[in-house]
Amino acid sequence: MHHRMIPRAFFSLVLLGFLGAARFASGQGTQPAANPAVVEVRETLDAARKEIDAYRAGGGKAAVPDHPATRWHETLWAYRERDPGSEAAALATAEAIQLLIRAELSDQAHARVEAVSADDLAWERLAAYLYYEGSARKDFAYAVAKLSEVAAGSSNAAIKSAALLALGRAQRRQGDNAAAVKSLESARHSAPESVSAREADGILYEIANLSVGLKAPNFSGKSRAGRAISLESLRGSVVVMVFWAST
Amino acid sequence: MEEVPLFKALHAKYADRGAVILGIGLDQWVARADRTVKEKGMSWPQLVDGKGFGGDIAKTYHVEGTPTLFVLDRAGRIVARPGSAKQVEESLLAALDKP
Repeated sequence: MHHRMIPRAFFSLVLLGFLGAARFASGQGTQPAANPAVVEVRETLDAARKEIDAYRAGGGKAAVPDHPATRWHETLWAYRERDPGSEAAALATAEAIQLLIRAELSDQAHARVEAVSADDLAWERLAAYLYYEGSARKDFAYAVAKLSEVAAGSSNAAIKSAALLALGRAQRRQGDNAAAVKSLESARHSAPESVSAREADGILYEIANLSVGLKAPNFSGKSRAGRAISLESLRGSVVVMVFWAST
Repeated sequence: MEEVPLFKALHAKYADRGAVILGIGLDQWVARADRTVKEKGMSWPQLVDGKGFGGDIAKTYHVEGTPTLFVLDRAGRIVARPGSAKQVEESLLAALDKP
């Protein structure tokens, strides 16, 4: 079994986006800042996140209709309608839905998702957001259904691959490794050498090598006390491996 | 490593029955890891290569954060990947009780 390591940076960026860090919005992301429409969307998003953070800090509740995300998502959605198919529209669409997801306004979020066709460039971001929504709600049913539909219906390789990657992750979390492997292998084939493909590779490696029930990959080394240690040498013991770092 | 007391308790309770705690320190500076081990009284074996998340074992086990935990049975099979130190005891006990 060979594999390539997935770049941690990608996962972190997606996660940061999910956590609402203003990284993308403040222009430090990977996109060039030249497109004025994109800059405008990012600035709007930045303002939205600031207000929503303040709302939360002031004890404002999630999952209520007068959540500030409701209004901000409308503002972003208007960008989508201004210049359909553009990079700015794709960004605004995905982030509008993400605001609703983070506000735990699932019904509204899903209604918006239904308006996004399988070839809409918003899916390059939105696929991961649906996975994280499932993760937060501990219910992947909607994500799995929708991502399957997009993966099957899209003619864009990058979208297909992003949808299949998110689908595979959701299926793995549902405990269906066989389905996850199928989706992740398809993600790899849809867009070889893409970020999604590399990420899929990493998860396939985990499923094949680090799943519960498998023999743990052996290693050996010298302990800080000078003792030779390998997993082989610990057979017969129950081993708790603790990866740690000083804080 | 605020979880150290939990691992200490597990070590004290189950070492006699054949439980081994194996630390893999991911500090970039071996001396820093050594200091932590000493200060916190982590009395179980430690592997530290000074390569952080880029070290061979961390890469093999796809470690992306700490603590990352694996519980292996007596045959060396992965029986659990607990999400936190608090969840270790249950799978550790089950593995110890397995013939």
